[in-house]
Amino acid sequence: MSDLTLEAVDRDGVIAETFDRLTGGTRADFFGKAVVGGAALAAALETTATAQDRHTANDIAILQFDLGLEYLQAAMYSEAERLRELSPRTLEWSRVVGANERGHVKAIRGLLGRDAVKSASFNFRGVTEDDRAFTETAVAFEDLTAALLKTQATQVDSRRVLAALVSLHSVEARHAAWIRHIAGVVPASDAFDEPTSKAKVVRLVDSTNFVTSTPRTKGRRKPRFTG
Amino acid sequence: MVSETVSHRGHSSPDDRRSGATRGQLLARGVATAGALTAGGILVGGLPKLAASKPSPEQDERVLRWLLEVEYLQAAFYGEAERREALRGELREFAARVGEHERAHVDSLEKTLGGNVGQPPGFDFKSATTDPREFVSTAVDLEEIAVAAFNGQVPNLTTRRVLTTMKIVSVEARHVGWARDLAERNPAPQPADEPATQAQTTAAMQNTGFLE
Repeated sequence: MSDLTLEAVDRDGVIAETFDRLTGGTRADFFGKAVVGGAALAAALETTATAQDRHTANDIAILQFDLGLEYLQAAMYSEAERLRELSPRTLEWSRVVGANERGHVKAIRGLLGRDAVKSASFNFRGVTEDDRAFTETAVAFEDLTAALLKTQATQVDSRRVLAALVSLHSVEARHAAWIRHIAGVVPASDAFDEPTSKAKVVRLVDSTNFVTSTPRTKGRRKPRFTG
Repeated sequence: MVSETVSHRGHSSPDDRRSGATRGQLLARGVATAGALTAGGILVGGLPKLAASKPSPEQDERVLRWLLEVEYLQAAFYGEAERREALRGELREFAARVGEHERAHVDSLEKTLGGNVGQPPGFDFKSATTDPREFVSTAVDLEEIAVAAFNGQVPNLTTRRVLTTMKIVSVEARHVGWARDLAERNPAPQPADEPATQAQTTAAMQNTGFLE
């Protein structure tokens, strides 16, 4: 094969198969059976029991942090969807994006296998019922998640994990543009999106006070969000 | 499974539906016709041939040169839309802002490649740069092609160029989210964006009918 492909990263097609399960088999419809093997890379959503054996401690730490962040987003958007207090466009956003973030949770849990951490508990303090507060928070979460994934992409050891982060990264950027458009903010303000640090994301999450307890630090008044 | 069409804006017109192919369908159509293509076009003729192998500076150069072709197509499309001045309202703003981004991407990649680049190919966009409906539908297609092309290549690059390309693809993904919202289509229809191979991207670009 003289083509530029990622077959080397997804030799066994596990990633592609798991993507099918997540998206209800649409992948095969998209590409047709003949090219599935060549297209190969998707959400990197492997669920095999041995998956985590291939991850380095560094990659596990990165994925665990991302899992915590995805739990937070999935919980917030899912709650908004349940409460139905937002304007129609924002509600539609929370419905679609909530489903995507739940997909990310499932994907990263699958990647981590036994190393998957549990979700923290959250209290969104009315933000899921207030259109303005919700959109502002969502813009911040989506912009920063996309920025963080850029940093992590340069830090991961495995090309498989890199491919997984890449396939999630552009979806977070879509979410960011969409919620910005709904909020009346320019969806794409610069020609290049810059990376950000984990510390900055931790500060943002801390500032929301959404995290009420983490599985490992129950009872702390203002627990530091670590995923 | 999330439906492809965002429902909150009401029904899409028959034209919308006709042009409302998903990226996957677009790529699938491209793949279906890829076998029949000749290597006559500049884009096809100039393509690098390599197997996916471990990242190296040499591979970076081949990959970036290839991604530059995708950026040329986008930059030319929005540049022409601006020059012809037929678009109004937010579409006009979209073309101006996104065009500026694509030109910046071209400049950045050319600079990274040290001027070691060929001539951009010629394009004929026909009415896609003047007709509002065609414009937005084409913008969605071109941005989807770019996101899938970049996503497919990032893991082939050295760490330094991983960042270079992710800073760009993030903006392409914003463009597609914006364009799809303007087209009243779901901006993020899947939890993960599927990468495309070079062959799929080439076929999808050929399939637009814009390459001279």
